[in-house]
Amino acid sequence: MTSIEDSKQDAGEQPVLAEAVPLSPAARRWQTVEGWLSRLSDGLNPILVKEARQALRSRQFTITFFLMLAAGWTWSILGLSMLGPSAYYNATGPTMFYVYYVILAAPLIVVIPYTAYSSLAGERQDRTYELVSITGLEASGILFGKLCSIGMQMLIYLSALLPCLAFTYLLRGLDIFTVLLVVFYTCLLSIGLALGGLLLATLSPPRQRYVIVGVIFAVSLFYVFGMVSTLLGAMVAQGISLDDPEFWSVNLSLALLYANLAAVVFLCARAQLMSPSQNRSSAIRVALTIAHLSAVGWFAWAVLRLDDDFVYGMLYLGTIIWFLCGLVMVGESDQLSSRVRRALPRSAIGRALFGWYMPGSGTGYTFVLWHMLVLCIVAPLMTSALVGELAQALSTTVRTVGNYNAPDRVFEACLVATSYLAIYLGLTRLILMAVRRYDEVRLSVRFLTGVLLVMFLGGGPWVLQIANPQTRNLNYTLLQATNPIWTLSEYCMYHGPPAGAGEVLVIVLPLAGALIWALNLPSIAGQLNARRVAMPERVVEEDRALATAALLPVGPANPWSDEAN
Amino acid sequence: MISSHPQIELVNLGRRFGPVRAVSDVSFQVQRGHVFGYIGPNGAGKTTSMRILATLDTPTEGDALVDGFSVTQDPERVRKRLGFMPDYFDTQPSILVEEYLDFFARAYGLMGPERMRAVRQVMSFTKLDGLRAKSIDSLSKGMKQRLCLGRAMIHNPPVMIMDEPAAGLDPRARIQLREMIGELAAGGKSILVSSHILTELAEMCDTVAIIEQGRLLAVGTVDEIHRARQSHRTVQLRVLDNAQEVCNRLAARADLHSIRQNGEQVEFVHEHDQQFEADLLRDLVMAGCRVVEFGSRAESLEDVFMRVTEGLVQ
Repeated sequence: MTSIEDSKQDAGEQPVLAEAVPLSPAARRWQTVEGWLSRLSDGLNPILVKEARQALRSRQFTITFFLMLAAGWTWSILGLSMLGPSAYYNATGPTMFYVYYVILAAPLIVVIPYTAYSSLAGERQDRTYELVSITGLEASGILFGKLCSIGMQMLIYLSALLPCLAFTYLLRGLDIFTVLLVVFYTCLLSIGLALGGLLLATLSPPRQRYVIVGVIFAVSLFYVFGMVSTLLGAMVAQGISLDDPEFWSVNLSLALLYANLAAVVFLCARAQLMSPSQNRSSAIRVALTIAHLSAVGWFAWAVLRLDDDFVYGMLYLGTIIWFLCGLVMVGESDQLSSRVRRALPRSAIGRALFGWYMPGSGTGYTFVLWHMLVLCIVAPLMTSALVGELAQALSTTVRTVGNYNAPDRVFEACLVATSYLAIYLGLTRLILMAVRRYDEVRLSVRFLTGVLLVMFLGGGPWVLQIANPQTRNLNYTLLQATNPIWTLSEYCMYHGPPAGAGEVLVIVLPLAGALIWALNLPSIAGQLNARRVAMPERVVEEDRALATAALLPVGPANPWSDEAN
Repeated sequence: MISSHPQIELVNLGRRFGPVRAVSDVSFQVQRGHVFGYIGPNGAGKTTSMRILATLDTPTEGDALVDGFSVTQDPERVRKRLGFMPDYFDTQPSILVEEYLDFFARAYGLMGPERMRAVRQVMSFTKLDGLRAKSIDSLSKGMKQRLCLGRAMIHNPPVMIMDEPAAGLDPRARIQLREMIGELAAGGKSILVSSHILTELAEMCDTVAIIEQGRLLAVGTVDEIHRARQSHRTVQLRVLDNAQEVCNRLAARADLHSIRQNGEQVEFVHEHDQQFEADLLRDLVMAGCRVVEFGSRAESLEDVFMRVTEGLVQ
């Protein structure tokens, strides 16, 4: 029987034996290169190293790669033979490029995101993930490794079609900028979809739902593939002009939207993979604040630059997004783990400023309202100050489309939206607090409660109105005040309050919102008052020992290190 | 740095799944270098407790500590100290044995030559050297179990948790695994091991805990449990001519039970010590019984297990 010590000795002898056998110069050179590569790979994410090894051996990857290669070459021959001599004189670049693009987009938009989903979901299903999760890898490291692996596969697929894409540039009718931009967009889209797939996979559905979710995800990817192919086909045909005044602003807004969305999705997926005692909320809330602030910036830009429909549309969409985010937050547990409590702000000022970023349903509820209130304050300021003064000074250049938004109308719309959030999220929170006494509040329960509440309180009066033959054909009435969908749609359509109800809405809804917030206030205050707890003695003891060890001369890091042997 | 804390400590640990209490108020400690056997029928709560210790599940009551660190509050520190061998195999596709161990070595933060050495030494210890370039899909159950052990010890943790490591192994592989566990314990590792093969546990464990329906029924060495449970001893004797008379004499005593006769063989059970047996033998001989063989044995771990548990599952 070999003991550990024996085996250490055995292993220790191996280099000596290796030195005893004379190596050829080529073998020595290869050994050196191998050593460098190994050292280089130390800096790489372990998941990337493992998945790269697995992916390059997998049948799916090999088939996809060679299919792509074959399709690319087939189209090169077929396309050129169809175009014939006109390839020299006519603008045939876009035609050739479009088909190459479709060949490239299929693996990038469908195969890669689906692989990301099935990889993580499969690992969670067969419990392989469990063994990885108890290593030194953190949730973000695992997700980042998966994304890096996706990036690597993307580069390999891209390399197969790169000669073909470069060839289209040599044809007429296509500039290099368009080619690069289209490929770049597709890669970003692929990563974004893969992130979505990873988030879906972290929701850890049981076996049968995992298959159903997988099928729905695959169908959605095919749909996106079809849409993107059509859209980019039109883009390529039209060409992209850098001189277009809207080009940079649209691209910048899309880039910001993408970055914000990707960050939030990544952090949500990470939170799903983290252990329950960890703080899974704060990072997401910070990302939401950044996303909100950039949205407010774009809102201001829209007020100045675009027509009113866009401004109200943004508000409507923002309200829906905050409602969904709020549903997740108001379902959080109010019991903070002692690990989270170790990191609570120490002072009262700290708690007042940053307490909203700590986990908990009350802090989450108020967090949403704070952000909407920021919009309520900023939006009229933007419309009055910027539109009133700046736009006057730059009247000819700043505003190109639409009419000036009335600051008070924008403020009213923001206030009404905020009030709806206060009412519905507040009521959902109170219901979920009661439910939590009996059982865990799952994500599905949170969404179901919120949506049912809106359907019941908002949809009920609507049903009453259409059920009565006398009121069926009437437009918006005060009876619909509890219906956020209709009310906000009226604001979107008429850029102001619904006829005959506007003034009342602006008074009644904020009052109702404030009342429900007040009902929530005692428990919110309780959460904000949560005090920081001290580090466990054992943790302090180890940290102190590690700090002392760091000051000492470097010894063996662990029993496998050189010094220990 | 060697800490003074117990390597494993369960403090009133409880885990509920809805109305079902999988683990209820379980407390015990495992000291450095000890092999602790965790036994109980299927569904007793062994795997749940082990998963909580491995930071894969969270308790609903109480806590579990590894080297003084809470599995719920400081799971990262616990994971550094813990190697977990679950009751299932890893099913990573298209990966070789060496790559598999290399991945886990990287995941535990081992770098460069250190990592390569760890992989080499673990393969040597688990006798997987010859299989380094073999895909893990193609390994036999025994090889997979050794690979699983290698993965769990790649970062050389001081605490190892093994859930049914010998299940489904052939006798040879089982003996090899038992020897490896013994060596790991001799190297100072604390090992918590569950198994249905009680004779094996009795051979390798210093201490055992018996759990049923999520409740801990007994903890201690097999001898301690015997003593605590007023352990029974079985006596077998062979007499010439008058076996029936001996049976009648024994049956007349209130402190003996389960008396059986089979030809010249007589067997009975008592709850006293060996002094009692010596006195009993003297009495029989003085009463004219021609006793030619007299032997007694204490209960095995299997007997204790059967007596302590009631075969209840949840």
